[in-house]
Amino acid sequence: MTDLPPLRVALVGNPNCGKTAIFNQLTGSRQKVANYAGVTVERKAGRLVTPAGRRVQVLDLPGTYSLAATSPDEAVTRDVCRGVYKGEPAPDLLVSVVAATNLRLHLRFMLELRQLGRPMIVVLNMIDAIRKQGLTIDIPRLQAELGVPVVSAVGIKRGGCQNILAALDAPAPTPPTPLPEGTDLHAEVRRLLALCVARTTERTQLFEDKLDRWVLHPVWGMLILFVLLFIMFQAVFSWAQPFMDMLDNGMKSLGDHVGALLPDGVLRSLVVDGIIAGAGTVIVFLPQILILFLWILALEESGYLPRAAFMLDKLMASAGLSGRSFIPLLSSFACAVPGIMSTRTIQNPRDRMVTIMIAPLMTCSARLPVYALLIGAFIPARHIAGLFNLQGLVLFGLYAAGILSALVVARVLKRRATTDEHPLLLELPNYRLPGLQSLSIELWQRARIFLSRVGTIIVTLSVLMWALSSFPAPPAGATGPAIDYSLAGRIGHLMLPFFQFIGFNWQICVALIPGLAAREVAVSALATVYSVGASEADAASQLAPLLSAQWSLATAFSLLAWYVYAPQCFSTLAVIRRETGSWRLVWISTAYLFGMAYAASFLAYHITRLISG
Amino acid sequence: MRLNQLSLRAAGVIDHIEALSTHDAIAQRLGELGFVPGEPVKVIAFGPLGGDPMAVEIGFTRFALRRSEAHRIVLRDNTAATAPSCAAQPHEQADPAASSPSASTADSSSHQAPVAGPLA
Amino acid sequence: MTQILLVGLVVLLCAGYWLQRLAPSAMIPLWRALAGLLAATQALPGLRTKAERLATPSGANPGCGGCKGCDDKSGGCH
Repeated sequence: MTDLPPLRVALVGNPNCGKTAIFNQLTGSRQKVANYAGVTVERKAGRLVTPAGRRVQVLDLPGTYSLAATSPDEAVTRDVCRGVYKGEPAPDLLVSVVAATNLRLHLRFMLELRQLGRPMIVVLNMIDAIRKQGLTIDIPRLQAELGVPVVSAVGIKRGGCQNILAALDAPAPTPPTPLPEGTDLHAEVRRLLALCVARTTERTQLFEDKLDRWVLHPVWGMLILFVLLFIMFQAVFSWAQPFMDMLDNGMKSLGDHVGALLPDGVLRSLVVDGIIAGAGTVIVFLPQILILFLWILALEESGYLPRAAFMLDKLMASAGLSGRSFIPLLSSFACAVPGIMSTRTIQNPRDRMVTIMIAPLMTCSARLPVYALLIGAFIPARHIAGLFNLQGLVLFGLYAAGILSALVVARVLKRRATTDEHPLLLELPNYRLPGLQSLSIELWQRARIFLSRVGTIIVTLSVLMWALSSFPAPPAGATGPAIDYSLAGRIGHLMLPFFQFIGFNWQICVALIPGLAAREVAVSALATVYSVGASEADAASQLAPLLSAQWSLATAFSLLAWYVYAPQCFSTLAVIRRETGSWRLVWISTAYLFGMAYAASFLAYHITRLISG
Repeated sequence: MRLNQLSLRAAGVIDHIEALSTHDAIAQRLGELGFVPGEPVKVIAFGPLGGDPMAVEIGFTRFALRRSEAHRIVLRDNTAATAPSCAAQPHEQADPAASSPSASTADSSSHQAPVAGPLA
Repeated sequence: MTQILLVGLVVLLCAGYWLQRLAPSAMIPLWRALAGLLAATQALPGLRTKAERLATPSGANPGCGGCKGCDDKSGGCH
């Protein structure tokens, strides 16, 4: 069995059929996510070995409602199933996944696939849920009617895919004979349902009905949405804190230990200040990113997210976008990199481009250390009206500024295309409890991608920044901070004439350079410039009093305003390039963000100066 | 009577989809999604701002549609003559009278008898 | 002395990584030279094939071998 060539199998089905959970269960962690050649559509491939020892390569194709594709990812599914996608061999077997809870909709697409006349099997997923709905499905009858093997599965339960594995071990099914051309597939679905599906109790949508009465209610629904978002942000920012502190301390002690091992000198500085500090800034943010992803994935699996898109659609329409942009923009609050990657679900290319352009304005978690430092140093810890923390209010204000600017920019970017029709046509799937195994696999995948992509960029850049900041070394007997004499310092001084109009001093200019690599690095860069401890935990507490003594309030506000728009870090630029395939958009986004940052800083600086006298 | 004219919790039966142009991709997609003649459809919610988009239930699938998309869905103006009690939600009452859906009031949700009761 | 060499090597590798990402065409002569050197010394065949591939104008694009129109004008190969 093992010397047979691997069986190539493609999982295909409607959106929300639970295909991904099945894919995760079948392939476990042996998955690879890449891109299809020629398009920015995600290619999910995995491997498995059947109980009989047969090797199988599984492709999880993008969900689609029909082979009449309306978007790039649907086009990929269509072409791969037909075996005509360039660079992708035709699958040996099509696995058509159908949600048993939604046969009326899903069987139509299955019939459309069947018309291709390729070997296929049908998987009735979520078979456990139909008992609750009072349905029974005569699987042998359905199999006889369709002429293809039909098996049942429960994608989210452990061991729920046994039947699928057994079917993969069975000899290859004969290709089905297609129905006559032009057959009304909907009528055929009704015929099959009448023959093979029986109702033991009355089907009700009571659960969805009950829940949707609240969730889609104009007032209660918005409230529920805000509460969920609020909890999510609380989770991301406060619950992640202990883990972040743990990681921060861990990286710091790692730095100390390695530092103790290496002899004094330039190598130690490279390893400790360059590599470990650099990697540390990424790793410290992992808890926040993981929690945000977990929350978003859980909301997605539960079926709630499309309802959130429904509630926000009108609001987004005022900015020229649709509710579909909500999820990518939400993800951008953790980090714009995964947010921009998830714009793949937006079909309208112009919508997608605009969403990508404004994603960096969503206050990403990397800006937080800078905000925290400056707010801590310059905003008094007072309470307004006994309830609201002034510092918290300012933070909220910074977030709001980002969001409002994003809406304005989106409006501007879309002013020419107001005649485009924006289809919404969003399915609101049944509510279901997310499966833990599937969730953890997805989380692990995203974490891996984030770490490797951002990690290589940040670590290599940190090394380069370290080199720029350490050489040339200060001559003996030098009085100022060492960085003043280095290449980075020289660049900072060069930048000064341009930036002094917005109140930046040369130290800020120097710190901005590594901030291009990763915004959070700006804090440790400032620490280096002011010759304070190198790790972030030290930096904030020691820097704050220093800065509040040396900087004017106007400069602080100017820097805060700058960071709301800060031209984004290299990782974001890299992912924009990758997702849009265009350097032009990368330059445009850098330029407009830079322009807005400069303008905002200018206003903030001068207005504050006017007010504070 | 079109789908975008129904009020909350009102139901109707689809007559046909009216395409706005010869290559109306939305009309085609609506057909693929199950908005076909004879299917009963019900309005379950309206968006919070201005009632757009609207959420409808067709068969046992729920969709969010813009009003402009729902406009393409033309409904039958009267019910079929006799309404066998179909697999309806138990809390609704089957209304065999030929009352048009727009007259349905908030308290008793009138239910148009479908031609073929959906089984799944 | 070894320290400086090591540090220099690491910095060069990082700089090379960025050059390869941002301006792959600028790196072509380097890869060609490396491929030539490895061919002459018959060492590290795996690295030599990789260097030869990167020495061509479109070789730097990751793993797409099977498509046309992969250059920058068509939006790159993804």
